[in-house]
Amino acid sequence: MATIKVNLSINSSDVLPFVVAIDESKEISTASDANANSSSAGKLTVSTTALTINTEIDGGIDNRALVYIKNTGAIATGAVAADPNIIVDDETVPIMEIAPGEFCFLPYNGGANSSLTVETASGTGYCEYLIIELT
Amino acid sequence: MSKGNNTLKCTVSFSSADLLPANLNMSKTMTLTVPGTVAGNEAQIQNFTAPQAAAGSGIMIPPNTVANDHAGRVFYFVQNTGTTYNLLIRVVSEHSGATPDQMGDLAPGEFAIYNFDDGVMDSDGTRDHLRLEISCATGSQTTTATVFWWEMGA
Repeated sequence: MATIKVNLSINSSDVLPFVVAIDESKEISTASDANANSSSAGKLTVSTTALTINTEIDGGIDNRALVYIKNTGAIATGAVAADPNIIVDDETVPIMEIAPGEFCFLPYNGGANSSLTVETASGTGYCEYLIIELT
Repeated sequence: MSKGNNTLKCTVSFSSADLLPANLNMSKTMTLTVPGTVAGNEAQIQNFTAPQAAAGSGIMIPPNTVANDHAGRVFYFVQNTGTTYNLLIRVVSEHSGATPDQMGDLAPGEFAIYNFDDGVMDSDGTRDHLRLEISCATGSQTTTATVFWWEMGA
């Protein structure tokens, strides 16, 4: 069993009529069983072929898992185009699209589905990830 | 006339002394330009009491107050503010009765930030119908949630 502390803050002075200042923390523990046996972090080069993340140990993400994915591709500057967005699929169902510099964070539990894949619509993209199986 | 861009900063941090062979201590920040275009012009924060519900029958939260007006990407921050039961998270981007896809469940106090895109979600070419669905994961029970969404444009 391991313990992870996660903090998420969101701040904006102009998205809503008032100043948004969200700051939340949570300590989360992994279960002491075989379904919580896979935690990994890494960087990936992503193409139009869907790439399953966290396949090293047991072939997928057991439910539930903490998932962080960031598009580490280049942001557009001047005449230089941005690297492509990273598309995240719940198994084969496209769900999210992460632009360069953006990230997602979620406790994943796909029900009957048990893995996430990343791909691009075209071109080569780049991302980093952290997967922590909880149960 | 555009209302002008807005700015939002988001930071996520992880720390653990016993998860990996080395100490985990990671902090990542994204600074978002929320576009002042038609598809980036709405944001809302809401509190809900969510009962248990089958897929498609929970509380549907579109990322726009104008029905079916959203086009593109949207961020959702969701937190289970209850103390006992998990909060189920589903999402759908079809207007033809498709069953929402389950993405996760949040234990009490847990939170998430999603970058949903009805452009990639929509399989039948009828985008602009993105909905986040929340419900309590336990039968005959309720939990509470905070949801904050903002449009990011196409």
